[in-house]
Amino acid sequence: MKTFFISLKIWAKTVFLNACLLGLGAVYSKEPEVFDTLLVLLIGGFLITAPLLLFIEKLVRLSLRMPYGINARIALLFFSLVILIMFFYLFMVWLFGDHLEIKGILSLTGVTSVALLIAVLTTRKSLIKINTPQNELIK
Amino acid sequence: MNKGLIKIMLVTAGAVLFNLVFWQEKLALNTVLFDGFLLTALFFLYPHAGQNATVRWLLLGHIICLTMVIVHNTELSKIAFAVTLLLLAAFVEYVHRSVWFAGGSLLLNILMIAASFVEPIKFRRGPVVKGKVISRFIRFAFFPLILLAVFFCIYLLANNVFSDLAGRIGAQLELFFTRFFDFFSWQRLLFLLLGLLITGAVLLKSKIDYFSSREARLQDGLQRTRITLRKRRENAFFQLIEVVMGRMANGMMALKNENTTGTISLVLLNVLLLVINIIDVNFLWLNFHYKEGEPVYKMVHEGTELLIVSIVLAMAILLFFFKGNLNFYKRNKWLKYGAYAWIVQNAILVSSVCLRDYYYIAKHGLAYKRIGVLFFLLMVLIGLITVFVKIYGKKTNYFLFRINAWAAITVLVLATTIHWDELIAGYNLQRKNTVEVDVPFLLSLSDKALPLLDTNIVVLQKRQNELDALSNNRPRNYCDTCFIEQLKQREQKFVNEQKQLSWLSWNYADAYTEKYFQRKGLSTAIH
Repeated sequence: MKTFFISLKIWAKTVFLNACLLGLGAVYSKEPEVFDTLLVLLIGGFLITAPLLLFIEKLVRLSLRMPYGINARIALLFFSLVILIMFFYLFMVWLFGDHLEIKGILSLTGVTSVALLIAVLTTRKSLIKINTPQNELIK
Repeated sequence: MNKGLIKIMLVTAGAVLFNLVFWQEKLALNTVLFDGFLLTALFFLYPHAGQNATVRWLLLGHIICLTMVIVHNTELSKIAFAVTLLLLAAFVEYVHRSVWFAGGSLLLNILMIAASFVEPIKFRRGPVVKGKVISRFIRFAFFPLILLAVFFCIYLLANNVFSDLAGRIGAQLELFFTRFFDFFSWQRLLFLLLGLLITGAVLLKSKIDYFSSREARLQDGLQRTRITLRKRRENAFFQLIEVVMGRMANGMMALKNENTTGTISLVLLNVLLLVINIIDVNFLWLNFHYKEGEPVYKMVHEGTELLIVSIVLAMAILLFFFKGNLNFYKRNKWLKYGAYAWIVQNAILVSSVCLRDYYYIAKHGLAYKRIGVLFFLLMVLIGLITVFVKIYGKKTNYFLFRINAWAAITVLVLATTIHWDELIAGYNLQRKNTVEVDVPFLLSLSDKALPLLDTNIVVLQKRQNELDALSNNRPRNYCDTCFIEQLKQREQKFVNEQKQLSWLSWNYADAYTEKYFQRKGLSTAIH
């Protein structure tokens, strides 16, 4: 259950930060409907990417089981989640290929990766906690 | 210095070197520089690997592929170079005998790359005051920054003067970033990451040795093992057999029944294959004629694909019968003879498929797929021989797959020593009177074939005239038979491409083509 909550945290933070970063991008490019864009990205992001939670949970569980130090495990988790993001966007391109530009998708992947990096780093404490055995925590 | 840190420094240096030598260049002389660095670093980090005979043989194969990248510069030589480099890294880092398991270990190297890279870095443990200050700063700044961003957007949309001011600041920032990214582009950053990934995959050994420990448990010789009925019933395939065979699949006589079923199956299959082989020998070997109006490709394409499937299936059936204790059954003589006969008959079938391919080549000339079929048949023949060795010498499936994988690697390395495009063009043009010259296909071959096409420009012109005469009455939207024009465009494209490349992309194949055109006066000195 703990891993699920951590996965939920990482997912929610990433979607929220992604929407914020893209919203800022919309302001920068002077799009008239900034708030609409932000709202669509936020709600749409939460709805569309919700099934990814299953994979995120599995990846969190798997990365924490690897025979590496905690920092290496977090790096591994970030790396695997970036690959998941890439696959997700590739799937989107496959679904709506005619309407999406590759350059736009690449930028989107970059922005989402930055959001993910912030999300993982700010969830670091929970990840360390779940990784450390109880007796070590007492010390 | 800590070995882990040395690894990280080497990986970083490798990524930088990758970025410097491969950016907007093609794989050629630069490969020697990068490969030299990787191999030195690899044997420096794992010095004991040099004593391993497999590593030495693989190193030889890799050096042959590297040489072929410089000499022929074909796509095949580049693929073989990458494959042998990755395999070499796996064999240097882990204890392996099989290519399959080494490939698995390498896959783990790639998957664990991020962890392997971060692992040697020692982060300070315990309460770090500085880190906490930064963390507190981020937490305190988070909501104010969001509020700031929201109100900034509102004012930007509501106030024109503020919008202009923000726009001017934005323009200045944009100019700054444009200049910055002109110097150091995003694409180059991604390219650096790619270099990091490749160098890391080769140099960083993952901590998980799942595949090497699994392989350590496997051996070449088959061991007689007693499997209880309960354990056998856990296997879904055995359950299926039990449904069909009933009580005959288990009990005291199970092995005898299996032997009888196998012998009957092989006798029937041998009889069937004998009929096919007699038909093939009669029509293909002894009385073959090209039939007027019936295209040869129909016979070859339809026949070859199915026959290849049948041969592979045949090997799978033999593997099924000789998977376990039937190898040790005393009265398996006829089952073994049946298997040997089937192997020989399948080898005859391979020869028939080879003959079909030969007839096709004789009529239509060489092409990639036709050469590919020959290589595939060679691999199938090796497969059949190893199946025979497996049955005769009571070997495991591990042995069979290991030997076949090494055979495939050897064939791949040897295949790089020939420039296939040049060979195809030379062969087809030399037999222009007997073979139908497919000019669009020849024009799609790599640059090394251009001098040959240019020397045979008369053949191209002749074919163009023939096709023009054939399609004289039909309306055409574009000229699909302007072969000379297309050849000239290819030549010009080659010259232009060469101008974009530096000495790092030097290779013999391009230098040869370039020299030919220089002699013809098409291009001036490029490098």
